[in-house]
Amino acid sequence: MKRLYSLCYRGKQVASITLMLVFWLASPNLAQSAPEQKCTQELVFYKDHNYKIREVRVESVFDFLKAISSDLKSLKSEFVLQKGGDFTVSGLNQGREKIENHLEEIEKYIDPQRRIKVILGKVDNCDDTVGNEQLDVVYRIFTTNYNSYLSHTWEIKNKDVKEPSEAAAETIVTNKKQSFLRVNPFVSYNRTRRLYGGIQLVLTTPSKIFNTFKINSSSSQTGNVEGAELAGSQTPQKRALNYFDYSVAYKHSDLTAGNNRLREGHFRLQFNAATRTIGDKGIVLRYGAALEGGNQQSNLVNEAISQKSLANSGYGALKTYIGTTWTSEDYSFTGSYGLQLGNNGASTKVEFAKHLVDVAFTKRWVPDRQTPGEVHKILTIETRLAAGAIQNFGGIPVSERFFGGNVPQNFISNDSWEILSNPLIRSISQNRLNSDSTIGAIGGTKFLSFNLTVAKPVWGYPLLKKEIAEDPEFHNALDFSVNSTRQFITDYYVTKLNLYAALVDEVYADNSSGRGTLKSDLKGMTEILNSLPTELPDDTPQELRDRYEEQKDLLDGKTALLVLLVSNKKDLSPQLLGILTDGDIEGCRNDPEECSQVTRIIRYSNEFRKVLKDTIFAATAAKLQRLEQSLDERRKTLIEKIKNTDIGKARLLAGRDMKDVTTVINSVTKEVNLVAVSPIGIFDVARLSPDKYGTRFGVGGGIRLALVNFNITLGYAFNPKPAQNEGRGAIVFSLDVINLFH
Amino acid sequence: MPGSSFSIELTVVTNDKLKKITLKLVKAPQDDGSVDWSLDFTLADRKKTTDQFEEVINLKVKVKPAHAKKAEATFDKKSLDSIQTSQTAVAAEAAKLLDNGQISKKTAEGEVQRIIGVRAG
Repeated sequence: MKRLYSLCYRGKQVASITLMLVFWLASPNLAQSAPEQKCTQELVFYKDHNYKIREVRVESVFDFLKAISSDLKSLKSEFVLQKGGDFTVSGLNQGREKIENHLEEIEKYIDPQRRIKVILGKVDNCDDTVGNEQLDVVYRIFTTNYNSYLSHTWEIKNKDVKEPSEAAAETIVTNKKQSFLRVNPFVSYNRTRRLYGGIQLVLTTPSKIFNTFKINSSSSQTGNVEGAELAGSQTPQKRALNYFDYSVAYKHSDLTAGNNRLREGHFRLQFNAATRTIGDKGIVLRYGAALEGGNQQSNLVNEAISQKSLANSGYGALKTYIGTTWTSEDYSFTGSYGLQLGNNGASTKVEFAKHLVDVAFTKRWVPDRQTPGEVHKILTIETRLAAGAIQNFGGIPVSERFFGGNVPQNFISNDSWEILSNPLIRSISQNRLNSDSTIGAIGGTKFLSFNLTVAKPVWGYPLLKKEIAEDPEFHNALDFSVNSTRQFITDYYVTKLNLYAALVDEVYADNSSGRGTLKSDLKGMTEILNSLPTELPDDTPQELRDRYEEQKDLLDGKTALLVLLVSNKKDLSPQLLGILTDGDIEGCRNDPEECSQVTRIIRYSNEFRKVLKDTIFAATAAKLQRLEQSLDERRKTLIEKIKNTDIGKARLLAGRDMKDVTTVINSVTKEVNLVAVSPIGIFDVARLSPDKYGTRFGVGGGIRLALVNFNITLGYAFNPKPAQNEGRGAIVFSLDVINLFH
Repeated sequence: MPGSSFSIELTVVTNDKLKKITLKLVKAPQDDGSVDWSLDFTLADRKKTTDQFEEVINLKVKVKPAHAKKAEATFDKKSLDSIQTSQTAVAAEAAKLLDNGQISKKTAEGEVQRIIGVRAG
C-alpha cells in the first residue's frame, strides 16, 4: 500500500475527506446487521408462494460514499420489484439489467486494460412464517474498475494518473475528456507554524498540453506558503518514456526556523518521467529535472557569513533526480537520488552542490486466515532512510541548507514522488533542528535520518460486508472472473512469445516440402468439393438428391469456415486448441456440431461419402476418405504437440499482468477496512551537522483512525535529548490519503 | 440454497492495446423454474492507442438448453478452461468474418455457443 508519506501536513483532499467523515458518521454501514434468516428454497418457490418484498437493497463495496450509494439507490425507483410488492424472478433479472446498463453508462469513457464486473441479484432474510411470507431483495455489485464509482463524483477524484505505472497510463487517454474543479480546504498543526490552514484549488481540463492548474495558499500566525502551478502530462507509452509530466510554477514561503526567518520566492520549470515496468518484478524507473530561479532572505546574517552562506541572495538551481519503485502485494520499495547545482543567481557559476538520497521500505503482513466481518488486522512496518550533503564552493543561500523537524520537505514538486530534502524527526517541530546550538539557526550541511512506524488495527469493521464476504456465489464469481481473465492473457502471451510457432507452420504452410499440412488437406478437400456439382442429375432419385445436397452443403460450409479461420496466420495461434480439440467427447459423438472444426469436417465428410457411394461420383469417396484420415492424424499430432509445449513463461507473464486486477480484489476482500483503529509506534533517529548535540531521537506512539483510505494519526513523539529551543517532544498529527490499490 | 441472477463481465485488452474483447456470462432464472444462460460477446478495435475503441461486432447468444449444465459447470469450476478461451479466439475471428460478410450470422453465433459447449462433461 503506497503511503503518501505525511507527518504533519499533506491533507490534499481534506475537504473531501471531511465530507466522507460526515457521511460516514451518518452512514448506517457501521451498524452490525441483525441476525438474518436464511433463504433455503429455489427462487421460483418464493415467486409461487407470493412472498412479499420487505426491502430492496443495492450493495457495493463503496456504499460508505453517500454520493455513490445515493446514485445506485436512486436506481431502485426504476426496478420492477419494490417494497411491499410481490417477488418475481423476472423482476429480479430486470433489476440486475438496470444496474448493468447504469454501470455501462458510467464507464463509457473509461478504458482499463482489464476489468471484471460482477452483479449478483439474490434473495435474503426470508421469513417463512405462514401468512407473513417476506424477503429482502439484494443486489451486490463488484467491479475492479473502481474509477467507475468515483469518476462522476466531485468529492473524490483520487486519480492515479501521476502514478508511474502502465495501468494508470491506460486511464489517462479517456479521463482527459472531462473538466474538473477540485477544492480542497485543509487544516493542520505543528509547533512551529501553530495552527494553520489553507486551500488548494485544482482545475483539470481536457487541454492537450497543460491540463492542470493549481493554486494553493496556507497561513498561520507564524508563516505562510503560497504557490501556483500550470502542469500537463503525456503518455507516449515507450519503454524508456512511458509517462511524463511537466510544469511551470511559482512558490513563495515565509516560515520560522528557531529564531531565524526563512523567506523565499522562486519560479520553477520541471519535467518528470517514468519508464514502463521492467522485468517480471514490475520495477519502474523515474527521472526528471527542474530549473529554478528566484531569491531568498533570512535574518541571521552574521551567522550565515561565518558559514560561507548567504543570508540574502538571489537563487538559481538545476535539479536532477532519479529513482526507482518496486511494489508487490505485501511490500513496496522506493529509492531516489537527487542532485542540485545552484548559485546565488548572479552568474552561471556553480556555487554549491546538494546531494540527497532517500530510501523507503514498507512491509505488510496480511493474516492468512481472517474471519468474515472482522476488521483486517494487517501489521504494517514503514521504514525510511534519508541522507544529504552540501558541497559549498562559493556560498550557499541559507534557505538551501538543511533544516530538520517533523515536516517533510520534498526536493521536487510531485505528489507521487517524494525525495526528502531535510532530516525528518517527529519529536522536533518543523525547522527546529537547525544547528542553532552550534552555529546559529541557519541549518546544517549534512544530515542523516531514519524513521520507523509500526501500526496494526485492533478494532474496526472491514470494507466488505460480512454478508458479501460469506457469500460463496460472490467468491465463485470473482474467482471465475480472475481465472478466466488470466487464461485469456496466457493465450495472448503464448502467441506473443511464438510458443506455438512450429505448430502454426504445420497448420498453415503450403505443401512445398511434400509432407503436407492441415491447410493443404483443406485445400484438397475444397478442390474435391468444387469438382462436384451442387446438385445431382435430375434422373437421380429425389431422396438421394436431397441427401446429397444437404450433406454437400454442410461439408462445403464447414470446410469453407475452417479455410477462412486458418487463412489468417497472425491470429491462428490462440485459436489452435479451439479448432483442433473436441472438448466434450460424448457431446461430439452425439452431434457433430459439438465437435472441433476439424472433427466436424471429418464427420460430415464421412456422412457425405456414404451418399456419394450411391452416385456416379463414388470414386471420389476414396479421395475424401484419405483426406479424412490425414486430417484426423494431423489433428491428433498437433494436439499432442500442444500438450507438450511448455507455456510456463506465458503463465508467468499473465500472472504479472493480472496484478492490477488481483490487487484490487485482494485489497477489497482481505485488506481494506471501512474503519479501523490502530495503535502506532514511532521511532526516529536524526543527525544534523554541524551540531554539537549529535544524534537526536524521537520515540513515541499514538493512535491512528483509518476511514477506508483516509488516515488521521494523532500521537506524541518524545525527544529524550532536547537541545535548546527543540522542546521535549512534538505532537504527531497527520491527515493522510493512501492509495488503496497499491 | 436459492439461486441467483447474475452477470459476470470480463474485459481484456490485448497488450498492443488495439483489440478489446468483452465476454459476459449471464445466468437468468425464470418464473417457470427454468434457467437461461446467455453469452454476450463483443469485439472492438482501434488503429492507434490514442483512439477510442470502436465496436466491430456484438453477438448475443442464448446458451442452448443442452449446454445449461455446462454453463453451470463452467461457473462452478471457477474458470473458463484453455479450450474455452481458445474457442473465444475462434469466435472473435468468426465475428470478423461475419463483419466482412464472409460467413452467416448463424455460423458466427454457433462459434459463440461453442464457448460453453466445448467444455467436457
